Amino acid sequence: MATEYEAVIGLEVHTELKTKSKIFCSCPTTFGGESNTHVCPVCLGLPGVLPVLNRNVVACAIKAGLALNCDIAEFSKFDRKNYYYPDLPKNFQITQYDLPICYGGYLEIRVKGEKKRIGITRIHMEEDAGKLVHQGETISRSEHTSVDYNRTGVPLLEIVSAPDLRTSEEARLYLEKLKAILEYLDISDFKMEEGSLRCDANISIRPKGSIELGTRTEIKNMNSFRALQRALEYEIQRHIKTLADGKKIIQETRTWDEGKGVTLSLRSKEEAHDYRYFPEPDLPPLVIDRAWVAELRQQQPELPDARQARFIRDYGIPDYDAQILTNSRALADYYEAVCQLYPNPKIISNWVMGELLRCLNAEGLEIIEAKVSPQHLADMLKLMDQGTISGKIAKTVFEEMFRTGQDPARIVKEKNLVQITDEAAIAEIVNQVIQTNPKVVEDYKNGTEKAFGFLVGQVMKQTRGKASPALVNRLLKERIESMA
Amino acid sequence: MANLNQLTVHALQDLLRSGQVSPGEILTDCLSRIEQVENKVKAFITLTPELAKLQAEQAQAFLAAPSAGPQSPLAGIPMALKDNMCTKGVLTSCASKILHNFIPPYDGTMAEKLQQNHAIMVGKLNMDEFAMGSSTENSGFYPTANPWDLNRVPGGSSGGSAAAVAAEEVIFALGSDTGGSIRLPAAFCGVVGLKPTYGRVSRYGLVSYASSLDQIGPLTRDVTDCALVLNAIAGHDPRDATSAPVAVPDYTTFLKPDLKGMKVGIPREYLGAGLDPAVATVIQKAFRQLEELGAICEETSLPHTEYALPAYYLIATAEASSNLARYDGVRYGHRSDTADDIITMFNQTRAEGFGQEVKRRIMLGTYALSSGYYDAYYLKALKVRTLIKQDFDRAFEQYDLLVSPTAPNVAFKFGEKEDPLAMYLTDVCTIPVNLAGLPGISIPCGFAQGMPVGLQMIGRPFAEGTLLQAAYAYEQSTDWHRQKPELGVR
Amino acid sequence: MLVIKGFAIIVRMGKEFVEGGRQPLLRCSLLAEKGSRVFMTITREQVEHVALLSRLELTEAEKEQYTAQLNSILEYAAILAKLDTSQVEPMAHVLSLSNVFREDQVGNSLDRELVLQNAPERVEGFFKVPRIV
Repeated sequence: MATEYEAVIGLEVHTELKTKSKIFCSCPTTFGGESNTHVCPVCLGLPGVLPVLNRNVVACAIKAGLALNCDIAEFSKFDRKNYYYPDLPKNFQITQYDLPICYGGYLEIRVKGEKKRIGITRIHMEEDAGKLVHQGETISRSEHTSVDYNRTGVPLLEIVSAPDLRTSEEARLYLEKLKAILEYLDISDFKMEEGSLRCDANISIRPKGSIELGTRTEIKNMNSFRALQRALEYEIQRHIKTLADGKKIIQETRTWDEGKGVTLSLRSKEEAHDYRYFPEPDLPPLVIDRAWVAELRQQQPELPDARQARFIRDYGIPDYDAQILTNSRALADYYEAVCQLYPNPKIISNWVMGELLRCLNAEGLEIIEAKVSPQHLADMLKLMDQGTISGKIAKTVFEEMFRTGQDPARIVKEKNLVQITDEAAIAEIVNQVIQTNPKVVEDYKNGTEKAFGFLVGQVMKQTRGKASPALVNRLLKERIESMA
Repeated sequence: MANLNQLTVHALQDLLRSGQVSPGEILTDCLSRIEQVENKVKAFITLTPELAKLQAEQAQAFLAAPSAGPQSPLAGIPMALKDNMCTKGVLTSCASKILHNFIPPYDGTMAEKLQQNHAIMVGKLNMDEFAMGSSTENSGFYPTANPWDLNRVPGGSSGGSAAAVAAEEVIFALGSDTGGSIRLPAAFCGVVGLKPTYGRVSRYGLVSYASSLDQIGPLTRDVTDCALVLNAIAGHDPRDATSAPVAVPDYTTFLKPDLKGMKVGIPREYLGAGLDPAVATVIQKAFRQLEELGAICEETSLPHTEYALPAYYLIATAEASSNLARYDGVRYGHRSDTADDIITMFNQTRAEGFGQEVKRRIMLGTYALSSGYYDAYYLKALKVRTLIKQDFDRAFEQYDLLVSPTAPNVAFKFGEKEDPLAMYLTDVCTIPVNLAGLPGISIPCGFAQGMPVGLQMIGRPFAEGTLLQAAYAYEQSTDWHRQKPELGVR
Repeated sequence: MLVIKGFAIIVRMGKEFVEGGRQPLLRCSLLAEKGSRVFMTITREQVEHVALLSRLELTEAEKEQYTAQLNSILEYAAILAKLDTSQVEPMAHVLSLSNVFREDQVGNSLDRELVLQNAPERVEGFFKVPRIV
């Protein structure tokens, strides 16, 4: 019988912090300036310059640590990590080595309905590097490389999980939860596609039940949640197959090739790395004041887990709905805003999770970019309740609101979408439909339920969906029965 | 009257204030002196006469304004900076081929402060490449000569700074001191050199050699000038996180010719084997002079002194190996043009751009930090640093001041110390002071073999005032500081 | 900014840690304290490795010379091993400063022309470097 394996996965997540200025100088952190315009002597690493730590970076790190149930170090310091690369202006990175600012925390994910705690080993602060632009197809085939230092010195948090993840799905859930928490804290944008978030994974497999660790590989370049899950799944299968073939797994760094759907060995001319960490002499250490930590703890916003629980309790919506709605702070805020304006939370949840998310995904938009305001959605739901529009028409109205941002009453009016509740008018159309579809009417009479639906559809078609469905049903039934 | 370039800051200050001379006249005398002697001394890497003339005009205007008061004693005074201090628009080479064309787009804090004081910069001074050396022979361009004997070294690494002041090319200069690099050349050239407490003067704009040890300080003709220059450059700087938020007193208020009751310790380890007997004689005489001035001198001990030099070389080179990693030919400075891939470009650029001593120190420092050796070398050295600091802490429980020779010998001849280790031993009295972050001053205290000898005084952290007081009292009772070199060969 | 107790702050260095499953770095701390085999000689191969880490291309003559010179310096440094420092804290900073911050405010960046003025080679608004292998 084939051995059953389980994976042991740890994630190292680098995320850019949303500070105004860089970690060690006052250059802006904003995206998108022209190359080499967001730099100064300090982040350019010119001879003679010195770093001075941005207080807000430390505050953000502590906030993240508190939200992830970490201990906040009493004493912390920065170190230099020495290696040569042209995107690194000083040829060392200022980071934290043996005394990170936060350590020993966890977050909870929900796997198949069960809560699972994933350890956070440490969180530390560091500076980002610049950007290399390669001319030509690949790095090594380029004739030359261009360097833009705008991103150097942008503050990063590195969040290192314990090797507690057992499946690729758990890894994705962990990352989603981490994203939600950092977003709630408003300290990071966490946009994988823009590179403001980078995730590396350490992965090994072992026979289920074993406590020994297998040889691990490190996977880089997973640029989306989907890529993370695919890459890890691929790598787990690769490890299993390698062992099944009687071969050994090589400890190495591999890169995820999204196009080919495989991980590839990064066998560069890699000398054994020796980063020669030592304490950064230009930066005095940190002695973290407990009063500051307490103050930041006080300011901590409601986090996803707490909000989810509150949604279930206060709005009476199902677990599942609450989880989806609180995944993103902006979405949860949106939901709650509608709840202030309309009395039925479950109906709101259905619309937000259904139509709103569907439209957003289709357009690739974020909730904050949505043109439909909470007020408009609430107004639309009220129009349904009043019978002004049908549920079917409401979808049309919603799409129009999503597209144009107009208020629903105006859309209903301008597009002439008001529900027809005039019994005489509908009766006329019902008669007409019955006359033109004698065979279908016959089928219905003989017990084919589907036939009735067809007749309703015909009436709706003629009224362009505006007929009150309840009315149509009643009138059709009355007429056919009276024919008998 | 003497030529203006021969005077001190405080003498010129009086002349300027009374309107007897103008900044332009002082500058003219300095520039003509430079023209006259620079080919012998070679103290400068870059001269900026045009800029200096412009600054002299501005200083003139400033001095004429009613707001110019006694608080700007450096206004109109020609000076020069060691070439490891960044000056906007003016070559800053660190005497290295790897920065032979580097024009900083910014001014260091020291340059800004001197500009705000309306001092006049006439140029940038020679040094050991990246401040690594004790003789200025390691300049990537040419060595500087000692004005007292042109066949001898001026000391280093701030050799250009000391030589330019001694040769009367400028009125004062700034140097930097990582392991004695201000005090040693000051001693060798017969001028006053002060290394302030670590954190007293901002390092922003000082090209780092060893960040935890580097300090900027003045080289001057006398102690009064030293106090005046320190007043101008000291103080907290938000751009240097290691600069101390400690108030700066007016250092001239300490200049009192009185040492009554001052307790002075003489560490016996600084008078050990290797001390030139002629230097020892001069130093003993200086100690007696201090006693005559009222100081109570006692022998004391700094027991870990012998460990300071190796600890220093491991710590300084470790930091340097990282600080100098940025010179890679990508953003500024020399780039090898024979490489067509990045790694070869890095390797060749650095091989071509750095001199032997710099390479040696980068290698040593890299080794000291590397995996498997970190604890044995770097970490061990940091622990020894603690012991050295504790030695001083204990001594300062008893003494206000420690005194010693600045160097165990006088200036040596060019090429005399080819063995790196022999050269390193020159710094044996100065290096512990950097490891402990203390202020230290070297003042002229006599001659041996016709060459100047320096007396070193070491103080408690931020007790520059005490140092200046003792140095001033001693200086006022002697006339060593009034001796002038002949710029000949002995 | 906060100044804490006395002048010399001693920077504590933590124990080795295991980072996300990474192996701890091998460091011979025990050897250091025992003092016996610590200040071993540096071989020519090590000199070559150190030169590689330092990005310095050395000539054969330089390799010979540095091997000899570094050995003599390290031999001299061997006296450190005589000291028992097992109870001594390392000192990375001599000043007792901590928590030195700047506020999160955007200031001026450099004019791009000044950024690039010292570049050995540039292409449009970028620094240009040879291909990365």
